[in-house]
Amino acid sequence: MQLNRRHLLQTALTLGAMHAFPGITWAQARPLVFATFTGSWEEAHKAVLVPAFRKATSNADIVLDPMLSVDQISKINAAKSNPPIDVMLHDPGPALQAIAQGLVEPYPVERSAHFKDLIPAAQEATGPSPFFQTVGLTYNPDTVTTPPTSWADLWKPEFKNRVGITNLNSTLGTGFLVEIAKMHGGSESNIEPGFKALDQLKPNLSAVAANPGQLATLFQQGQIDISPGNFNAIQILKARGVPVEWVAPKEGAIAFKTTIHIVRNSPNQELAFKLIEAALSPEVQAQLMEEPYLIVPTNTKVRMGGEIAKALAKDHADMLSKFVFQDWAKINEQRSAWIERFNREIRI
Amino acid sequence: MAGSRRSITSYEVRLAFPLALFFVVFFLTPLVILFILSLRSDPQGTSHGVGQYVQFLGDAFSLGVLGSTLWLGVKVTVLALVLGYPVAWLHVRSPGWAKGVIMLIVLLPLLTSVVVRTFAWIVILGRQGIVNTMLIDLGLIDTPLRLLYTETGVVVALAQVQMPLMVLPLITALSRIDPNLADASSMLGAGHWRTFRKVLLPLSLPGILAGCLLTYAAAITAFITQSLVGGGQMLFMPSYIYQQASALQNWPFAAAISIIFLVAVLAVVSIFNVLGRLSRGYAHG
Amino acid sequence: MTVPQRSTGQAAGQPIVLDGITHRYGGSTAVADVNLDIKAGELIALLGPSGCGKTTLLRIIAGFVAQTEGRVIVGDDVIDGLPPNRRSVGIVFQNYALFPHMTVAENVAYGPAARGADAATQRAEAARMLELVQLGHLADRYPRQLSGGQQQRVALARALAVKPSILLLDEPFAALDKNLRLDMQIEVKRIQRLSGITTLLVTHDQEEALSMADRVAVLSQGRLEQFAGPTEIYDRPGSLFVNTFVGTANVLPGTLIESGPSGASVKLDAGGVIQARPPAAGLSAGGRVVVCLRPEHLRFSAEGAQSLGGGPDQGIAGVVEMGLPLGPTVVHEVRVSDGTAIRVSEPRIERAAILPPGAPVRLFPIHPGLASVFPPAASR
Repeated sequence: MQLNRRHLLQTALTLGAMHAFPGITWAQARPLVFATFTGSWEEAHKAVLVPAFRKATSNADIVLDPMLSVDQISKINAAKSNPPIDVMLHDPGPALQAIAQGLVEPYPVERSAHFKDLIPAAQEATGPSPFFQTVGLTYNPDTVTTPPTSWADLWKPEFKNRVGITNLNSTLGTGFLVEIAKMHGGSESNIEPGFKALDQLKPNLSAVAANPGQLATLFQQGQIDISPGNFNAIQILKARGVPVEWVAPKEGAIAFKTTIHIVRNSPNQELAFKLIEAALSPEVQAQLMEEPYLIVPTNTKVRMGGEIAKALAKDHADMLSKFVFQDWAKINEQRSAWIERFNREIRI
Repeated sequence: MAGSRRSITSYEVRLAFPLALFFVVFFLTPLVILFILSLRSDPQGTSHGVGQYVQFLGDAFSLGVLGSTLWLGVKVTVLALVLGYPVAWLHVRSPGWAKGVIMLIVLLPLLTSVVVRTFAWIVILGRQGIVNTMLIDLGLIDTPLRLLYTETGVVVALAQVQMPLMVLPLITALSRIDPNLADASSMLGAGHWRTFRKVLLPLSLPGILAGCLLTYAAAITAFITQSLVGGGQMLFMPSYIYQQASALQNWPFAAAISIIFLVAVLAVVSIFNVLGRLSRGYAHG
Repeated sequence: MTVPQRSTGQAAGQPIVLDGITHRYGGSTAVADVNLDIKAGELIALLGPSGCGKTTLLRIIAGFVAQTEGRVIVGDDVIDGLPPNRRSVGIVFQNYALFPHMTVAENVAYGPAARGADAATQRAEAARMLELVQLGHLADRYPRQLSGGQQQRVALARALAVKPSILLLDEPFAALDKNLRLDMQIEVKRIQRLSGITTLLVTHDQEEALSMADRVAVLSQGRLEQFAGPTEIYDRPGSLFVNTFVGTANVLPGTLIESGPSGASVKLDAGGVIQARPPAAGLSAGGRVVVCLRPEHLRFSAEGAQSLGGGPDQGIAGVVEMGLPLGPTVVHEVRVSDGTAIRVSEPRIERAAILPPGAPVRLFPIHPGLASVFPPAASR
């Protein structure tokens, strides 16, 4: 074989391409890829879930690839037959989109050791819910001396120019709108009272954040004193010394199921199943309930304790009575129209 | 002689090939995909057409977002120019060591992430920020002003964040002006203002236009600063695209908005370019 | 070149007095106690090597630099408090500093416009000035379309268009090639004579200074070395610096034998005793001195040359190192006994053949009064 320049170039290019796109060689065998969320989610999963998974599978390879729900969906959509992700994590809105787009493998419920122990709301055959996110009221205890008790407190005149909300791009913002619609006689299919209430909230609004993360900054800067807020996000702020407290309003805290799914056509179906089983297990959930993670468990075998028992619910029965779940199938149908309306109407 | 010159040219063209390939793969191809995506009538792609464009262009709200974004760029650019010109002038007219210090101050923002710079503005503009604290301490106001999450806040923050893009071309243009020209002008009886208006301004016009072009393009596409300082209720094109693509998964509409935004920006850039060519002819006779 | 035979209508030049001007930048002194008394309409050259303070002096007169001490008086007025644009001063920069974005006519009309003339006056003034510098036909060109000489004439027209009482020329001919330079020197001198404007020419070129100026101020290290007419500067240099900077000089060390109002005699280290013109005060007999002899004041034979006094009349002995024919003259370099190289320049008409290297020669000055005596350089 004669070695010429073109030949060398071809070889070099091939090697280069393999280096640049290692996925090319993954078709045969690759570690399990778990697309978790960024930030505290990744930290919690790395510290607790991954070791449990390794133990259960005698050290199978796993890669955490944290990204937004939408990015998970578009990445899988781009390569449906050979998806680069094996396990997805979703908020309720994106979960329904992923299911609707046929990206989700049904969970093998019959083989699962833990599925039947989950609270009923978490028992989703398309992908169970190992964690909850909880939205209640966040306030600055230095300036708000009487802790708020109801969503309605946000409208109090004393909070003129002190209230922060997020726009509807986030699950938090959308859930909040649905909740205040319900408070005023509306529902997931009748959002009108919610928008009316938002309109009346305008004098009190100091900021409409672009995402829930911004609310944290606004508290730190003293720009707002009270807002709807995610329980877990507030615990992180508190741990960093920001003066914030979280309460569940008497109407009930909004609960979002965070669901975990096996990706359709994943080459690692069995490992994916094992990871989800680990996430559902009482051992992992109990550990994640502790400081600093404070993640609400969905497995009824986990005994509530610590800050969660204090601030949220002392057991699962209490939790079900105090939590409000929303119909995200209905919400998704109209969410784009709501976002558009929010764009137009909520200007401060 | 002619033959060797031709071969040099062809060699140079071949050298540009990797870059051209890079552009085709990572710029042109995505753009074409984006355009094709924008022609879908619905997110599933069941039918195709220009419906997304019709929807955008027929919607006063969407056009308003486009308009306010382009207008935001104008305000930021003007502010950056007004604040940046004296800095560039100072740099050009300073002795060597001061030049270094000024250049460092101008470049320093480029060495920090835009997120960091923007957070600094949140600290400055907040209710308990530097501006409000100072105004209250001076007794000028009783209650803090709302500066954060206002368009004024966005304009000021963007002007600072993008300042190097304005100042660097200005420094280049101003330092190419012979300092004797200003002396000649004053010797002929012109005061400072006349010297500036008749000599320095026209001769620095190429730099002004280059700076304005860069600042404008950066300001209207500055997703991070726009959303962090502007908050969630102020909608500009980048957030609008993000919202449609990310929160609503309406990729075709997001793609169409992107294409429209791209065309609008290209139109503005072309205007700058034409002005730039005219000014170069003007400045160099 | 034809000279327009009509008045330019310039305001008559003003006298300028530089009264004890000193300027310090940080720790260094750029100009040290310079006093100049310039008559109205005079053309003065500020001559010196780079860094001698001549440009600083020019910028002080223009008002770009405020001097540390001293006064600038134009006519009867002290102008130190005036900004540049209020001083009646025109300036032509070394690089001309024409406004590149304006036509020739616009450049020339800039001054009248800045001083509030109406559009018609501006145009008329520009046209008149361009005619003065013979560039009326190029009024609509841009500076970059002009040759160096044309640009300089535009700069001159622009400076004169505001009818200044003082014209400052900052190395105006440095950027021109040699042939064009002479044309422009004549042209500037013509226009200066015609307008009667007091002019200061900053230059490091001694030929330019000597040929153009009515009087030359020689500066060195911020100090005024001598201020006199060109022939005076050349023939009776006031200092060793002037003698060596202006023209060429052979510097010979020696010992002063005697000195008086009629002349001095010096015993050279190279041998022989030389007569010189009266030295400045402060030199005493028996002290070390240097003698400056211009190459053209030396000959190889005593015939027609002044005999050296005191002792055998044998001149200065030396050996020819090299001989060069330079157009109208022949220059020989001669090594004398103390190792100094001496140049001798003779009209070629007097010397048919160049002396070969190694030829033993004797040098004789053509006249005793032509040599100058100064204190040795180290004690200055």
